[in-house]
Amino acid sequence: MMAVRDNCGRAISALLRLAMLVGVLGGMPMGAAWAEELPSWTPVASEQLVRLPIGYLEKAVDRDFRDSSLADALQDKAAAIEGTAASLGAMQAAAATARGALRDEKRHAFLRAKQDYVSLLGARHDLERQQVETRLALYRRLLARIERTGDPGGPQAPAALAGQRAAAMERFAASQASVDMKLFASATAQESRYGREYRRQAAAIADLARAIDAHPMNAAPQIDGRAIGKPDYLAHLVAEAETDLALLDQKDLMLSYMAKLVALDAMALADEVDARSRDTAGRPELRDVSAAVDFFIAPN
Amino acid sequence: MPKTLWVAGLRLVLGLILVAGGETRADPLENMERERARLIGALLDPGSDPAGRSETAEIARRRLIDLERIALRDPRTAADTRPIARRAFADYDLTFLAHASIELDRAVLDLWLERIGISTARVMAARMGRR
Repeated sequence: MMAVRDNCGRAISALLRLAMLVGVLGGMPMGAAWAEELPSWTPVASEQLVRLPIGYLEKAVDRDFRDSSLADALQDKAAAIEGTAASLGAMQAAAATARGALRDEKRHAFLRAKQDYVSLLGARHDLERQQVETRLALYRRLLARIERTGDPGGPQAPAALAGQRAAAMERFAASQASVDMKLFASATAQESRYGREYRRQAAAIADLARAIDAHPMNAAPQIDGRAIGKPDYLAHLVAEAETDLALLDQKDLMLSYMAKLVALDAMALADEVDARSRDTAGRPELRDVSAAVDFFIAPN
Repeated sequence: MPKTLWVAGLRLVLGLILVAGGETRADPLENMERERARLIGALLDPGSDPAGRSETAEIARRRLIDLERIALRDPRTAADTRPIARRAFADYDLTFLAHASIELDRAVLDLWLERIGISTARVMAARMGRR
């Protein structure tokens, strides 16, 4: 019985040291602890990515991430966390119902499991942070590139020229029917091969264009119901990534509090076991000096 | 030189020609400009008789109508910022001469002369002299 208790005490002391270390680390970025083992994701802000339709850009980045070792590591961590979280409830119930030395062991095991859970969550946060920071850097590079060179998929002509072209198209469209009527007014006039073929193919082209416009992969992204261009969309993605980072900071704070609670629980358990072992050792009670007064005042 | 090296070199040259040919595409604006110059040239040709001039000009006008439509409908012009594009869309009547002349019910030559600033009054007011 004493041996079990000593073992338990040593284990709790070790756990206490570990939990305090985790508690201290909880306030710091946890990246340093796993820096050497971190898997990687290195997307490139390529010309191909810049030229992708705006609705497809984020999907292409997601696909690139899914193929990386970082995504695999995140998935492994998620599975491990799920397994640990599933056992926590049962261990807590076992610790609550156990009695005597078994209770200490169960509480100790529960504390170890909580510590493992916090460690796994910390590791996952590091991987998530790495993913979000990489994504943020990629979007920033793409945005800078588009701002520097212009959107290859968007209209590049200056506004004045674009306006003149639009006016020309409008005038042409408005006058085309009357021009054709005057042109083919005489019986001998024949439509050119271009005119015939164009008319024949125009309907098919219009159908194809409608299908392209309606295709979900070609849908222009919207914010608050308003269609936006590629630079605006990339700026939106940058803001989203920064939001994710801020939320991760908050999650890290929660994690550090959880680690501190584990440390406090471990200290409480160590104190409890220590106090109990003192009680059972039968040490003499330190009595008040007044209780010994009778020994001195009575005649010998 | 070994035969295989010759064949490889020939393939490379052919490939380059094909690639260069693939990237070189007729410019609709330039084609239209050339055809318009040909039409104006035919209309101003002092060497041809009126009947021949009219026939040549009519053929050129028909061709110009198609080329104007091709230039207007070409999706590449949306991103074209070259000087030729700037000039083309700055003056619809002058650039799309065939369409504008039919639309405005004017003779091609009259409209062209007017757009470049030559009118009967200005010609009559001009004085012959030496520069």
